[in-house]
Amino acid sequence: MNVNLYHALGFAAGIAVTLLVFLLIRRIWLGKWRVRSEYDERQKAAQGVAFRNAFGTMVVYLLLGWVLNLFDVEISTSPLFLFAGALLGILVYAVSCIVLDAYMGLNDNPRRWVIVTAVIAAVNLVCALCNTQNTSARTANLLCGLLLVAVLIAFGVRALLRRDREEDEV
Amino acid sequence: MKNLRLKAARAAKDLSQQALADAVGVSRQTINGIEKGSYNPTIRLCIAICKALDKTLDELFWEEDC
Repeated sequence: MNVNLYHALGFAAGIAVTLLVFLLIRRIWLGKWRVRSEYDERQKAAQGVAFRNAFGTMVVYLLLGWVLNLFDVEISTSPLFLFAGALLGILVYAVSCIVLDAYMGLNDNPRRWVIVTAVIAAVNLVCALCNTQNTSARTANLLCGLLLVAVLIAFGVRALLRRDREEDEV
Repeated sequence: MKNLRLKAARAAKDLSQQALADAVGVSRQTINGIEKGSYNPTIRLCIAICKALDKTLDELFWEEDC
């Protein structure tokens, strides 16, 4: 077997282990294999707006990559550039949902979500710091970790702003 | 446009936004958005709110100046 095949097998095994751990965490914490988040009508509409924002951002990002490619900038053709674009889209979607109060479902537990997200972010950042051999994997881990940290920050800021306004609203 | 009639009806029932939201199965922010006029609810949600507050659609959502 060549190195690329080993790399692909290792990648697939990593995804499988991640899914397994994720399912086990849900099973242990929630007592069910599958719990679907429920969103009300306003939240679903807001998620549509968030999706539109994310899609627009990714289109602009890809157009930027195309322009950079015209000027023979190497970064625009790398897989990491596309990966970063996908993460940027996810970030815009998540932050838009958070700003519009459509991220957490009616039956979701924000505290649990914050803990799980923080743990996954920490694992990604630790992997990025420890991995000194594979540069692309390190960058991917770093980007994922930073994405989750940014989402957590957005969630925290939104919670603080909401707390200030709630006294007038109730 | 703010829906002050909804807010008044909710207050008359001594319900918080969260309590009303739980009663009709939406988030508190959705009720807040309806009261502030920043969210236009579907007829299904309007009916659910009316039933929870013992009001009619006219009493809560009909705008006389339309």
